[in-house]
Amino acid sequence: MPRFLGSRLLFAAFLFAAQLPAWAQGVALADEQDGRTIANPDYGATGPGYEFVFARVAYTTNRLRGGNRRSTLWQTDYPDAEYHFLGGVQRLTRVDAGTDGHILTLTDEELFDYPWIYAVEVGGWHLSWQEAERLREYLLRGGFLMVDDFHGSLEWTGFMSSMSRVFPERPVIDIPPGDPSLHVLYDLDQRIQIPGIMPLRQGRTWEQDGFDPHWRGIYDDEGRLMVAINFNMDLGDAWEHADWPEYPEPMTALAYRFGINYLLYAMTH
Amino acid sequence: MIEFWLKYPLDTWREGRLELMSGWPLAWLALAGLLGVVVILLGLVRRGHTLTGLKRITVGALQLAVLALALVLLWQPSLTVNRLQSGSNALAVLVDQSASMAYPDEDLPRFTRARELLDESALSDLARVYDLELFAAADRATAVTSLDELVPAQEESALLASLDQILASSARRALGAVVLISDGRETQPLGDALGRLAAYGIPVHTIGLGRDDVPEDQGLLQVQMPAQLTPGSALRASVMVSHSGAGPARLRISRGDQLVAVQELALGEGTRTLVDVDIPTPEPGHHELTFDLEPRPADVNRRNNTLTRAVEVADRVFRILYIEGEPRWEYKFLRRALTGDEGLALVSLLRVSPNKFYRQGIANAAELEAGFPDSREELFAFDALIIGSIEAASFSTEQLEAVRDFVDHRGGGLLMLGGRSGLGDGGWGNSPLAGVMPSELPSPEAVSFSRERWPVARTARGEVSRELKFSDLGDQDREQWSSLPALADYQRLGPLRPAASTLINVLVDGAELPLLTTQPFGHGKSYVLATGGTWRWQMSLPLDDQRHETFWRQLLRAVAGNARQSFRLEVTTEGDQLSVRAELNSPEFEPVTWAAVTAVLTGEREEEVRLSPVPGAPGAYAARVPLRSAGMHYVQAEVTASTTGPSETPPSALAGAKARTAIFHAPGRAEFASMQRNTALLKEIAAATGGRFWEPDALADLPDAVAGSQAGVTERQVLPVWDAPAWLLLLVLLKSTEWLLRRRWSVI
Repeated sequence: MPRFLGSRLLFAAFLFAAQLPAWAQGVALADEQDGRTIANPDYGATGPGYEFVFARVAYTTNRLRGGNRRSTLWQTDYPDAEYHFLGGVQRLTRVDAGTDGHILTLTDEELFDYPWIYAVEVGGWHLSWQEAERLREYLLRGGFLMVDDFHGSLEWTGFMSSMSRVFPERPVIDIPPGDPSLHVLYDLDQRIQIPGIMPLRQGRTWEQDGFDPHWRGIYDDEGRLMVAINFNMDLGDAWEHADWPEYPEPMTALAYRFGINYLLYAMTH
Repeated sequence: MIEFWLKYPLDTWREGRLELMSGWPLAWLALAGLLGVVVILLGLVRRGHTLTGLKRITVGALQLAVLALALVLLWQPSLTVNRLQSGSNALAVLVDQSASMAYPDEDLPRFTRARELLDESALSDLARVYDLELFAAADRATAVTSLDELVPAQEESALLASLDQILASSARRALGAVVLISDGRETQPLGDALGRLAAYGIPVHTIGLGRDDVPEDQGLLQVQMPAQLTPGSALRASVMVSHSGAGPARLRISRGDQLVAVQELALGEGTRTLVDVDIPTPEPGHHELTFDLEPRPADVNRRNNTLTRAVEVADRVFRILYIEGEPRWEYKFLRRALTGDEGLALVSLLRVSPNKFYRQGIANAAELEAGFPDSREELFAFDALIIGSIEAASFSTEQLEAVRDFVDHRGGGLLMLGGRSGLGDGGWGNSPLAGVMPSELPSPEAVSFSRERWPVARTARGEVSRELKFSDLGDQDREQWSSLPALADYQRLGPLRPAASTLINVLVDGAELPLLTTQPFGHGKSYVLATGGTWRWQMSLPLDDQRHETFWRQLLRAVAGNARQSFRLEVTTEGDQLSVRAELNSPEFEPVTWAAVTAVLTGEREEEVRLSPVPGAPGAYAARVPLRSAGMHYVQAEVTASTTGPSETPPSALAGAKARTAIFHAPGRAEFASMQRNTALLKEIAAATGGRFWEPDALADLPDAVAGSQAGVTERQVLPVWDAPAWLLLLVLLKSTEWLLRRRWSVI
């Protein structure tokens, strides 16, 4: 073996070994976002002090988004989206909600203590078979997943490549207008595309080829919505930028209403 | 022995009047007595130097006693008694001819022993003095000439009714007394029959055949179980087994030809053991459940080893109203736990925002449109009420009083849940419902709700509660409870009320604090479940684990299961009589007293009867129907019309209301229920009528006791008693005592 080849192999092995702890953890939680420290409270054995905790799912990205285990894609809009949305929940409903969100992975033991979870930019997520199995079990026991902020046919494919691991047998359908999730508190008869801040700055509401918004879902055998899929829209941005004058207030209000309806639906069905 | 010394039985002494029959004037008796006293005193004085003090008094007393006794005997004391006149009275002998009299005691059937008594005992002597009338007792008394042709096979022994029948005929001839020969196995209800027998004034002497203890005979004395239940609810029967001493036994329960349960029994010391048997709930419809106690080899009487009961699994759906003050996971998972349970309909009212209630499970768009019911009629349409995390102040006083009446009068179930606005923190401890709840509640100032996770453990009472069982196998059941995940939260309660009990505790730092408590209140029942965190049982356990669902389904059936129906029908059998009783209430559960209620009996034949209002029980209607055959009998009652004017026409909710039930009639079952002699009843009959209870081998005094009857034709008899050996013995004893004392004192 040439000498230089042996050195390269040795170097590659070193890099691999250095990466092992992060991979072993599954998804490494970045501890900073936009220069701010991410505070993820450890509730321990006693659990959170609130009935409702906004639980955000941390995941690995798929090959569309680089296949990076240390990606921070799942942190998009964090933490202002949670902070603003939870304020709305406290103000507009009787739900006993905390002020901070919580971050977890699908393999965490505590997953089942949070019956409502949120995942963003899911066009780029990648769920292992183990994660998919856990999510399937979680949803069928009664958990609820809201996914948001992914656009266009390519990201749909990315989303479904993992989602079909979770529920290969269940179809994804458009939520019908009369579905209770659209009426539990607010009657959400308007189907308006809620844009992200970036396309809005460019004078449009869509991203990639996601011109038309879709409110989709996956239902269980009793006809109960388990997964609320906000496709071709960005509720997270609407929450996050609720205090930005340039973001249209009607969009924020509508995003609040959708989020609250999903939450109340999850707490009643 | 007593009769030898006193010449006559004690009864004769008690009944007779003592008189002196010599004919000599009593003044002579007094004079002779005075003379005797003087002589005795002079004698004592004369011996004053040898007899002093206490000795003189003792000797004097003994001599005076001898003098008094001798003088009284000289005047010939006699007893004057009224006795049945020989040849002028009838004596009825009633022999039990029921099947239990065929039971062999020490290889001799009881009926054979009765024959022997008639032929050989003192009873045969009575035939020479009285006109002996022989009767056989079964469902009635039948006059017979001899017992030789009779077979003890009757499945009814109406002893009291048979006696009543004989005594009632005493007006036609002089009936001096009745002798009943029986083992006391009465198959008819006693009622006031003893009082009626006593009113005739004719003594009934009872001769008890059989044994007070029949150790080889074991059987089923009683099976108690609900006559009606709903699909999915637990079916538990309480079975009373009669036996002698400890030992194993096996109980089989079958429905038709199908064996549905087998229970191994460990019978304890004593003669009665009560066991609870859990039985799989059958499909909707009427069913016969047969309980069969496997007989021991020596168990001759096997008719009491089997007992059949009717049970109806009705298509009744319990309607439960759940009001919740805040969206929370407990609400969601409670609703999900009941999904697919057709016996429980959960109607919920959830305050999702400060200004909006969200309704689920409503029957129509108008139901609960105005929020929590304001009217009793609307509230009383439910069988149970769950109040979640919502403040008491959210309700008007009238609404809270209606909830109290819902439990008290309507018999509905109330379940209060813990939560940050529930129980003590919701101000319920100071509300009109405070007394309804099984636990006192802390005041709202001291926050009692906390989101801390604690494990649970059933109390001893909870472990035997059917609604808290996950498995019929004890070890498995305990393991399933001990492995439950911790609750998401807990709310502290105050002290338990006197009639309440705790079914489940939480283990808080090693201390047991009450979690699920319950108490009866009026017609209904109330529960407190001091948590809103059982949802963790659903989310933390595997998908196929049904413990969370089972817990809620069983608990809510227990909460709602007590609720009365506005039109309720109940049937029972007493002997061969079917008692039909219906209760009719308005939608507000006020008794309806003006309706006409009819019942149609089907089974052996179809018969329609009109039920009459029961005096003193408003809203109750009853009738009795004779049953003529064994098996299932179905009864359907219907409210047909008003009995008064058009102003009181039944409201549409009541007119045409129907209720249906069934009962299994097993005539003769009571005859074989136990082979023990019913000595208590035989003694009661004798005591009530002035007769006596007799053992069959001690009848020597029976003729004299019969003769002492004051019924029938009597004559006055003078019985000399002055020549009774007892007096001679007494005289000898008195003089011997004096002689021995004087010899001891050397003063002879």
